[in-house]
Amino acid sequence: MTPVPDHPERDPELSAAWREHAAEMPSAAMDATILAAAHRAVGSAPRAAGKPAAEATSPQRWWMPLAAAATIGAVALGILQTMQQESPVTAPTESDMPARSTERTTALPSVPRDELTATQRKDAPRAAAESAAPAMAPAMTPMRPAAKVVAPSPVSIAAAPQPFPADKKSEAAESADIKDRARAAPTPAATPLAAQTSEPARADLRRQNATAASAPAASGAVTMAKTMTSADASSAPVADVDAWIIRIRKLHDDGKLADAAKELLAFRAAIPDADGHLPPELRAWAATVKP
Amino acid sequence: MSAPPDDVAATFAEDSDEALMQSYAAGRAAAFDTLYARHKGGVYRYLLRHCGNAGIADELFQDVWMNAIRARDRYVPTAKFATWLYTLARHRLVDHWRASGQAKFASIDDDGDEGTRAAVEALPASRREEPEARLVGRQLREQLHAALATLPAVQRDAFLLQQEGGLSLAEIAELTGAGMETVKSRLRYAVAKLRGELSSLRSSLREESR
Repeated sequence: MTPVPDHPERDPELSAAWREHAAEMPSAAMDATILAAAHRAVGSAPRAAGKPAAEATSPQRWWMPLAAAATIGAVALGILQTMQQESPVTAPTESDMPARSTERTTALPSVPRDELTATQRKDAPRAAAESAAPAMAPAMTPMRPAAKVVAPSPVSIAAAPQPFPADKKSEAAESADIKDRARAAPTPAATPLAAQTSEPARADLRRQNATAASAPAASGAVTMAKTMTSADASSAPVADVDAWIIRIRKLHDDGKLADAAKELLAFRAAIPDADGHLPPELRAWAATVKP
Repeated sequence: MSAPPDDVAATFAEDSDEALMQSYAAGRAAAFDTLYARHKGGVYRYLLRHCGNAGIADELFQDVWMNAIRARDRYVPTAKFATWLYTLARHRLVDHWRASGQAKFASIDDDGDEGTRAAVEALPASRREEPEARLVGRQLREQLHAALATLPAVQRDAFLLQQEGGLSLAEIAELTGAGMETVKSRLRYAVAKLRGELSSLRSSLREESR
């Protein structure tokens, strides 16, 4: 009697007998036909069915994900760089923004944008004020309440915390740089102050605004100037060192020497080494001004 | 075309069927040689045992492999290569039966299979003039094949997929679209029937040899 296997659906004895007698094979001619077809299929050039040959599809399979990954990476990098450049613009400019931030805003009208970008990377908070791009400036200006943009009074400037304590080392060099720039392009920052006094000055402001629209580097200063125009410049506190100097010079040039002297004294009270910030043409006069 | 050179064949000898098929799809024709050598016998016998005609089996066999060659780019090794290959073979067989007006694989109850009877009748008679050993072997094989041919197509199919394709119960179930229990039942019937035939044949051979 044949023992009943553990798995009735499988019988080793039957399987062995089956294999023993499973001798039928395809003919040699059949083998040759099929193998020849198989070799032709991958060995020949383009296939009639419109499909690329296997040799061609294999590298494509490898390239397509790689190309897709490279494209995604490039796009992501571009977006990241754009965000890095634009993020300071959206950063809020608070009334307690360090005085030097606004100082640089007006002091860098001719700095190329690339240079600004490098500065931003070095020091993000400082870049907030100076990276106002031309396209963004008009949109940004209304977002700044006048009270927030207006710089603190000379007294408060003096009392204001130093914004970049870590950067104090280069402050002197920066001041010299700022002075040079102010000398080279003083008009953009001077415009808002001129606007309060005379119609020609207002026209000058409009001209400056038009110029600023085509000069991206100056847009930060123009934005600041626009903001300042809305305030009463005669009584408004001076926004920064350069604006202060411009104001003193304006009074001086207008022959209001007493007012200019008053401003200079206030300037001296607020800014250490105030005379060092003055342009050469004012220094001789400033030397005559005593408290 | 002759068999692949030994060194080329040795390169792929250790590779799995799935890896070979992927190599072939990537353009290495020698991988197909190894793959074909592994499966040609099983596929051929699967078709031959089902259709009972060498001429038709040849035709179907060639079609199956041509289909495999054409489908190489679409091959995804989600299942065993053998499952994929025998699926192609089974589909070709069903197409053949449909084209010839036969309906196989209908259900497990199709015992009254006309094709089965025809296949049994077509088997050659015993030849007593042959040497005894060869005669016994030949008789055994013929009896076995005849017994297989009397099985319902679905039972025969399950048995051939197990024996020739080396597929598991689950793989047969996946390939045929039947449940595991159904496949197990089919195999149990087939094995019982063939074992009975094998036993009776051996008994009669023993009696004849006395």
